[in-house]
Amino acid sequence: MFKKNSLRKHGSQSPSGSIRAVSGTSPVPSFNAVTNAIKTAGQKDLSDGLDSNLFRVDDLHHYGVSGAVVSFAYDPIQSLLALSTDEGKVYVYGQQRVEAVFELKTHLPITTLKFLRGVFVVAIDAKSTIFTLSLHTNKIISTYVAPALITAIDVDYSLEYLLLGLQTGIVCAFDIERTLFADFQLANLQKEIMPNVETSPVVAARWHPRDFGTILVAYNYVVVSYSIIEAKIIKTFVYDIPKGAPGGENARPEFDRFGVYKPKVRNALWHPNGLNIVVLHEDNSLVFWDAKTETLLQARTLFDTYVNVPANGPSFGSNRRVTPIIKLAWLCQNDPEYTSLLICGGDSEASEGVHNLIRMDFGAAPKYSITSYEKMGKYYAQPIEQRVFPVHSSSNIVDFFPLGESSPYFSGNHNPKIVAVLFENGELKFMNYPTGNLSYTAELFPTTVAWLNPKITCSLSFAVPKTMWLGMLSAKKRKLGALLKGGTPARHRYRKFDLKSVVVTGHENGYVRLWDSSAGELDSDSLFEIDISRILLDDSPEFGIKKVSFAPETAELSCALFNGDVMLFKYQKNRNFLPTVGDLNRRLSSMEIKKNDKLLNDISDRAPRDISEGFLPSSLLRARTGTVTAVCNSSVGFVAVGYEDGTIIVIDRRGPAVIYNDTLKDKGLAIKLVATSIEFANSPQCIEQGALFTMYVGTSIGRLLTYDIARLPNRRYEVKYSDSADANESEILTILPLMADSGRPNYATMGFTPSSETSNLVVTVSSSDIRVLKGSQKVARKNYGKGMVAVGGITGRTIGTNPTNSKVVFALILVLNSNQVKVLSIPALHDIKTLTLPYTLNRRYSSHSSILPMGDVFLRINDTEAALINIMGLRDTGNNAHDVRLFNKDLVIPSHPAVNTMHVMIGNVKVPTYEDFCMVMSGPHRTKATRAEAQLAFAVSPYNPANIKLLGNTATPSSAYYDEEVQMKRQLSYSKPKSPRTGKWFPGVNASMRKAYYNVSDQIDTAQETVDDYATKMKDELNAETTEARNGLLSALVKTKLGI
Amino acid sequence: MSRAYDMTMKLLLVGDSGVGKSCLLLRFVEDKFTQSFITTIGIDFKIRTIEIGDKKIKLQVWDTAGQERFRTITMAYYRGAMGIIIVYDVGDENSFNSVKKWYQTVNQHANDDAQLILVGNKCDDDSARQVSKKQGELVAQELGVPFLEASAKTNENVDAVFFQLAQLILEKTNVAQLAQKENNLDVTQGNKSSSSGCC
Repeated sequence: MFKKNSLRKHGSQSPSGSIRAVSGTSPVPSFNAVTNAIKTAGQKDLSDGLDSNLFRVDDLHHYGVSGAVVSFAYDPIQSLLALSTDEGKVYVYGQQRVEAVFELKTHLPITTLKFLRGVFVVAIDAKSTIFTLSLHTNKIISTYVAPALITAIDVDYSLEYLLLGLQTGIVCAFDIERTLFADFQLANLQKEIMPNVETSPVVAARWHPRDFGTILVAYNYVVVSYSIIEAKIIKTFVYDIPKGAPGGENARPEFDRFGVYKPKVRNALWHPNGLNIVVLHEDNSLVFWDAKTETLLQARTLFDTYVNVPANGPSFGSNRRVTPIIKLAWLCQNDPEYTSLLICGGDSEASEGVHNLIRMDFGAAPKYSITSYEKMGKYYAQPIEQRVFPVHSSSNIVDFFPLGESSPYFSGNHNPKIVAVLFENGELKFMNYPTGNLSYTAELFPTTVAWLNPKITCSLSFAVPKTMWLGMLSAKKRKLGALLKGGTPARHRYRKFDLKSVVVTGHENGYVRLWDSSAGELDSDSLFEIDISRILLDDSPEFGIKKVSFAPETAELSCALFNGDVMLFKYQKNRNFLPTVGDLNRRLSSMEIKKNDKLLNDISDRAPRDISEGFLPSSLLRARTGTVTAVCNSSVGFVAVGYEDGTIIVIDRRGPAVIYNDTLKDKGLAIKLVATSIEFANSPQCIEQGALFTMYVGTSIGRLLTYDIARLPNRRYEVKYSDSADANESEILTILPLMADSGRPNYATMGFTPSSETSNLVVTVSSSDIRVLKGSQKVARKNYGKGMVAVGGITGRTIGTNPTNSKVVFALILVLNSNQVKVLSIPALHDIKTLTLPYTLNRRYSSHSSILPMGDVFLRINDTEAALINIMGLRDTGNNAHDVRLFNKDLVIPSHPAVNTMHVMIGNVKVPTYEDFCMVMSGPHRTKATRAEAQLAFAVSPYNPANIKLLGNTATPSSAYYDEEVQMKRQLSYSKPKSPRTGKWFPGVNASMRKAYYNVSDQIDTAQETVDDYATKMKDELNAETTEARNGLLSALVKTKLGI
Repeated sequence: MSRAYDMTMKLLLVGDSGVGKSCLLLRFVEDKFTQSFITTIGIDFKIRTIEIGDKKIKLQVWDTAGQERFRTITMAYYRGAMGIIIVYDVGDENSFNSVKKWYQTVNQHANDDAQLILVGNKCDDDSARQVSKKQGELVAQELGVPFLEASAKTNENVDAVFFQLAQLILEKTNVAQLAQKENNLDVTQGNKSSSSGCC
């Protein structure tokens, strides 16, 4: 969307090369071209001087991930996060601007993703191909196809061996540093123990959390603990349920000849202290065992206990079938003796799907030496707390990943504060742990992850003056500590403009976010977030965002929700600011907007009390006439909303008051008219009749309706229908009002000075054609295939090199669903250039794209992806930007958890050293790992003798992460502490503060000085209200930087 | 290992946010009380085995979140509930006014034969009282459900609430089982008579 903003004056650029650009000028003029030429004869060519050589595609940045997320991994040491998708891509994220994509040579989903040894990521696809990725070079090191289907996998972060269980029942280990299988191999132990039972795959294989010489292997009917060092079975665990015992909810009455039912094993886990194990069975029984003595401690389900004991309760294998438990993780606190089980599935009936996580908090484990088996049974039967956490989504949960903070050990479950929850549709949500509320705070997560969470429902982009944006930012609450700190960011690659490009995204669960995209990537440091669920105290699907409209000059925003409500926001100071109140709003749950409320409701009292300044709610429009089909928040205080039943409502925000409420209909043909786009323009030609503005309404049948807005003597405004024109063949998507003499956009602005010579040209863009109108006179038209046009907009640039002969000319830009961008002249609609996009647009989402000034085009590619391109070559700086670095060699891996003394005493187990262990695994003739990654892994390894001393202290000093501010301070400390302008000392203000102040004030000056004619004109036109808003923002900016 | 039990009962606590549902549960299961207010997110679950007469009954008690935003999620948990405790705070008139709303929700989502009980919590604090015992009794009478005032803080009537509810469910179940038995008998007799008819 191109809004009344300035276009920076720019010299004529000679093209340095065209990227995937093809000429679109047809050698033979079409019929349309001829008629357009005839109709526009005598009209001024507003695109005069625009040459096809001026246009090319510069691909600036890509947002989101391609495909649905299928796996997830987190590294608390390197502070990185990885995602894999069903399209064979792996994305690794660190701190702001640290992002790397690995394209694997597979089209299969990457189902397993693990961080290892600081420098590796292991990805395994659905057909058991093992990819080893390097975080040092950001490249794929190796691809290896496993000899049989991998059915179980476990990693110990500090070891180079992947523990793999295969379909054949064999357990083996893959050495990722040498890319080969180790000598260690374990035959199918179930076959050995139960020779007459059918062959079983490996169901689960687990490293002992404290002793890598011991593993746990689960088969269909037996779980085995095994000593790698001694090459012998330690214990076996076999579970059966006698007749008369209830068993799990999904138990089947299939008794063997001994009268017992043996439910198949589905998973097996070690307790973090390694003294107990839990085995999940197909009937949803969770069976807890003493690992040392094979004693069964407790057999329970989620909501029942002692299910292996005959009782008079519900009959065995009752008809009530619940969802199978699909995952369980044994989580521990910082002290690994405090544990809880987090479980997914098993709580609802199969038809209801999986929408909850269940936590059983066991608290501290009783002392092994003094407790009885019965007490241990009770300990697992009666957790301190058992809670069901609902995770709002229409899709089923398929997996979850705790983000263990304290160490990468205990299968990544060491003291998580956040749990990532993955859904069937590829959605990813984050749950705060152990509170269970969902976390959507964008600042916490990498931008791509925040971009996807919650799911985007609508998007657009526009430009705002830099000064205004900086002013708004200065008043923003202090940034929360981001979750990820890893990696070294790449330098900004692209030239920035004095206009800020802002991307707005509406999300499910009622979030609206405004991202700064000026530097190409989205910057979550300068992100504004509106949490509507917090304002309305409801995050049901109906409160998702359907449409958003933003008026940059007045910092007003309107958004339509899926339930048909429209909420109006304004950026302002919070009169009810009470920082100490904090979360009170959330708790006032009985505060509900009454069902019999008015059409326009004041909701300013719902502004969150802990926000001092920001986008605060002002009004709620509840028309109850169905879905909103169009919304426009003008910069002159009017908001117009169109509904699916043809209703159109105009609000004057100054009251606020509804000043127009009517239903559109075609009187003659009785065709339903629905507003599909609305725009406000200055009304130069109507000034004599007293009209100040024109409201254009584009409809579903391609008709353009015109309304005059006039000021009445009582200072109120009146909306009056004036004209209509059958402009397009299909629904009008965009209305672009332009000044007929210059081609400048003529959106409604306060303080506009009309002149009798000016008149409006209106360009209407439908999904299949473009029309240029002057009044009701049709000037030009261009047809495309049905549904071909995604979005249209105006962009402009300065032609000519010196002030005397330079001028700003404009062109119409269309994004087509054929993955092309068309540049057309105004008003004749001649093809100037056709550019081919490097993306494949999905028609369902492409209309959420936007054309910005200076040639930026925000492309919404599909559900999860978007991109920013420039089509006029104005962003290229020629800088050689260095690549993102992911691996940090200063971060040493903490020591491996040691075995419990009791473990050694009772189990009589020899705990091997790392060297002994490697000897057993790979034999005496192990080749040396030659890759640089192996050296780096050893450099940060806890088994490296050089690190042992270091590990006595803090393993991961936070200062070891790359911090731009720290780097900047280091540089500043060498500069003389003098004012850059006066050379004087600033007593009481430190150097970095002064630098920051001058930096900001310079930016303001630069912004002020370099704004081109177009912007200057715009600035002059700002009315008192706008100027006040702007000054307020500027003063806030300066005050904040000065610390006042 | 635990002794076998005779019956499992699924009980549900419902009511506005802040009326003390979690406190009642904590007092009943663990005999503890905490003054701090932490909003329940989702659903809490606890088990306590009680004995009524010669019957050993395993009570599975569900403590649902009182907040609007979780109501849709908790609906699923109404199914199969044999007893439902509607709780209000005697010091909060709004929560008392919500009782009928909760009664409707329960009727809409729970099994028809679920046994209900109305509980006015926090009855220890007379100075804050906004709802009299009489008012509580009248509403209970109107809804046709038993009524008790309780205090999780002083442990007044907490066990009584759960025991009374369990007792009522037990009686209902016994009556139902008896009826079932009679029906079965009837069926048998019917079969017999039809078979005799055949002959």
